[in-house]
Amino acid sequence: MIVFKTYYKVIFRNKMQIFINLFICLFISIFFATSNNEANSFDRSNFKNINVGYVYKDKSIKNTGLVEYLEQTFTLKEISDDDIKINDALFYRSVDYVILINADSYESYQVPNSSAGYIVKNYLNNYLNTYHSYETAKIGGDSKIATLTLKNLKTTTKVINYQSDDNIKIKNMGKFFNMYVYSLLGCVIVAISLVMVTFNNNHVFERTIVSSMNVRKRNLLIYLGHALFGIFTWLLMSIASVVYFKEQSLSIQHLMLLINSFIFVFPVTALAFMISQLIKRYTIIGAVNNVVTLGMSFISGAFIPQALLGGIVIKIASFTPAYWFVLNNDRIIELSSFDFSNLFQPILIQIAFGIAFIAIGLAFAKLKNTTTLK
Amino acid sequence: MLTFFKYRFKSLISEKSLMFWSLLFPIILVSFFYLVFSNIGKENIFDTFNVAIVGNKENQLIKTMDEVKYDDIKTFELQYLTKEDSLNLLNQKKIAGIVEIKNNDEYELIINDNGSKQLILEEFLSNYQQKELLINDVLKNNPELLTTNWLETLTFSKDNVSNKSLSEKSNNEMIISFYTVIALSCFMSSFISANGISTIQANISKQGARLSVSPYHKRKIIIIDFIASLLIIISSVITLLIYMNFILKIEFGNHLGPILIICFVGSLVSTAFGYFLSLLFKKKEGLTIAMIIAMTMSWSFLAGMMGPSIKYIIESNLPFMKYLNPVALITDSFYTLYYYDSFAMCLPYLGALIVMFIVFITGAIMFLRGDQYDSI
Repeated sequence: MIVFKTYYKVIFRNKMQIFINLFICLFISIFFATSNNEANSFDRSNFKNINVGYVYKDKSIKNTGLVEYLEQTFTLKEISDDDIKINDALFYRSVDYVILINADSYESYQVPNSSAGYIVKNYLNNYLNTYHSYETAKIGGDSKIATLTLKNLKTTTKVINYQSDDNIKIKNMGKFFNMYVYSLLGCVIVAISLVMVTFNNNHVFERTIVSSMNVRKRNLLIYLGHALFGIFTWLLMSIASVVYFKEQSLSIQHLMLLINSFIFVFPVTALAFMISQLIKRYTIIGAVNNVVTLGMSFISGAFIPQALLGGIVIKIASFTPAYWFVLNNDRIIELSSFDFSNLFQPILIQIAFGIAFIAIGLAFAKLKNTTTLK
Repeated sequence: MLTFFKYRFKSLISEKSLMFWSLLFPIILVSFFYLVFSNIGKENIFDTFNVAIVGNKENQLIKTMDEVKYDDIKTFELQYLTKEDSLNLLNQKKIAGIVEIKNNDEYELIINDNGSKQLILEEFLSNYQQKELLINDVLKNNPELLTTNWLETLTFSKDNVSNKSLSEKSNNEMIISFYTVIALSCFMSSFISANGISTIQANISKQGARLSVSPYHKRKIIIIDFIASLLIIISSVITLLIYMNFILKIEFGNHLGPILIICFVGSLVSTAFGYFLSLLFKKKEGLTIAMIIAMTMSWSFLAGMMGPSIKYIIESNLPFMKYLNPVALITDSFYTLYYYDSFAMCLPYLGALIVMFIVFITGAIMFLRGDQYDSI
C-alpha cells in the first residue's frame, strides 16, 4: 500500500503539469474531430464551402451563364487578372480553384490533389459541353442556348440519402475516439514518466530494492497505479465525449466506442509502464512522448484515415495496438446491426499487446535491479 | 572567455540522453511523416465499386452504366437484386448505392453515405438524364438533325479547361506538415536551454552555486550559456534539414542563406523560450517540461502538423493567430520561401519571430535580475 500511496502523492504533486497536458490533449482532440476537413469534401451540402476564384476576361452571354451556373453551387470570388493576387489567393487558400474566363479558352489554377479542384472542373466541363451541344444543334442565339443549358443542368436525379445528421455526428464521434490514440497516450506517457522519474531516481531506487518488499510486487503495484491513472484519464475524456456529443451519447455506437477505448487503456498504460522503466530524466520526457504519440497516431490512422495510408504503413502499424483500436472504432461507426463478431479479434489483439508490454517492462525492471545490485 | 564557453558546451553535450533525443527525435518523427504522407494523393478514387440495380435491367441507362470505364478500369460493378436485398447490402456498406428504375424512364438513387463513390454515381445519373433532356430539346426544335450525324458529334467527356501553374513549385499542402516538424524540432530543443539555464542558477544546482562565487561576471556566464545552447539547437535543426533534403528528398528550394537565417532565428526564439519558462517556473522542472510539451504541441497542431486543413481554418477565421504562434511563423517562413522563391516574402514572419525573441529574452532577464544569495 505504501508504494500505491507514494505513487498518488507524486501524481498529486505534479497535478498542474498533468492537468495542463490533459487540457491541451482534449482541446486538440475536440478541435480535430469537429473541424471540416478533406474527408467530407465530397458531401454536396459542403460544396458552398468551396471557394472558386474567377478572372472575368470575357463577359459574353455564354460566360455569364457559366458564372451563374457555378454560383448556384459554389462560392464565387472575382479576382483581378494579376498573377501575384492569384498566387496569394491560392497560397492562403482564400480560394480552392481559380478559373480564367477568356473569349475562347478556359484556364485553371488549382491546389494539387484537391478534391475541390476535381469537383469544380467537372462542373465547368459539364456546362461547357452541354452549351457546345446546344450550339452545334443551331437551335437559337446565344441567349437561348445559355437559357436552355442552365435549364438542362438543373435536371438532377432524385436522391434518397439515408445518411442522417446523426450519422455525420457519429462519424465525428468516431474521429474523436480515434484521437484517443493521441490524447490518451500523450496524457498517460507524460504523467507516468513524471512519476517514474521520481521512482527511478538513483537514491530512491537503491533504497527501495534493499527494502523487504518483493520487487515484482512493487512493480505490479506501480503498474496498478498507472492503470488507475489511465482509467481516470479515460473517464475524463469519455465524460467530454458525452458532453460534446450529447445527442448521440449512449447510442449503441457510443457504448461500443467507450468499451473499445476502455480496453485500449490497458495497452496504453502497459506501454507507458515499459517506456517509463527507461526514463531517468525529466528532459527526455518530451522527446519520448512526441515520438511515441505522434508516430503512433500518424501510422495508425488516428489523424489520417486508414484507407488513405499505404500498404507498408498499414503493415508497420499493425504491430501497434493503436492500429487495432482505430480499426475497431472505424468498424463500430459503420455498425448497422447488433453484429459484433468482427470486433472481438482487434480487442483480443489489443489485450495481447498489453500483456506483451507488461512482460517486457517487468524484464527491463528485473535487468535494472540486477545491474543496480551488482 | 573561450575556455568557459568550451566547458559550458562540453557540460551541455555531456547530457547524453538529452543530446540523443534532441538529434534523433526529429529524425524519427519526420521519417514517420514521410512514410504516411508519401502515399497520400496516390490512391485511386476511380477503382471499380459495387452498385445495386433494382428494376428493369434491359434499360438503356443500365447498359451504359455497365460499359463506363475510366483509365480502362470498369467504374461500376452492377448487381441485380431485389430492393430488400440491396437495402441490406447498403446498410452493410457493401455497395455504394442503389439505382432504382421506375416506369423505365425514371431513376432514383438510394445512398447512405456522402463519399466520392456516391458523388460519382449521382453525377453520372444526373448527367445521363441531362443528356436525354438535351437530345429531346434539340430534336423538338430541329428534327432534321436526326438525318445528320449530329448525335455522333456530341461529346460529354471533353476537357475544355487547361491546367496552369503560376509557380514552378508544387503548392502541395503536405509539405506544410514537414515544415512544422522542423519548427517543432526547434522548439522541442528548448529543453536544452531550459536545462542549461537551470544548471547555472545558484539555488538549483551545485554547479550553479560554484559558478556564482567564481570571478566570472553573471552576465558573461549567461551570454556564454546562451551561445552554447543556441549552437547545439542550430546543429540539431541543420542535421534534420540535411536528412530531410538529402535522404527524404523534401524540397526546400535553392536558398541556402535564407534557410539558415530562418533556422537561426527559430533557434534563437526557442533558446529564449526555454530560458523564459525555466526561469518562470524556477525549481519546478516537471512543470517547465509539461509547459514546453503542451505549448509546443498546441502551436504545432494549430500550424497544421496533424493536418494542413487546420492551418487554413485558423488562417481564414483568426488570421492574427499565426503571429502569436512561433511554430506557424517558422513553418510559414519556410513555405513562403519555397513557394514564392523570395526571401522578402518571409520577412514579416521573421520580424514577428524577432519580436517574440525580444519578449522572451526580456522576460528571462527580468527573472534573472537582482538574484543575490547570502547563503544557499
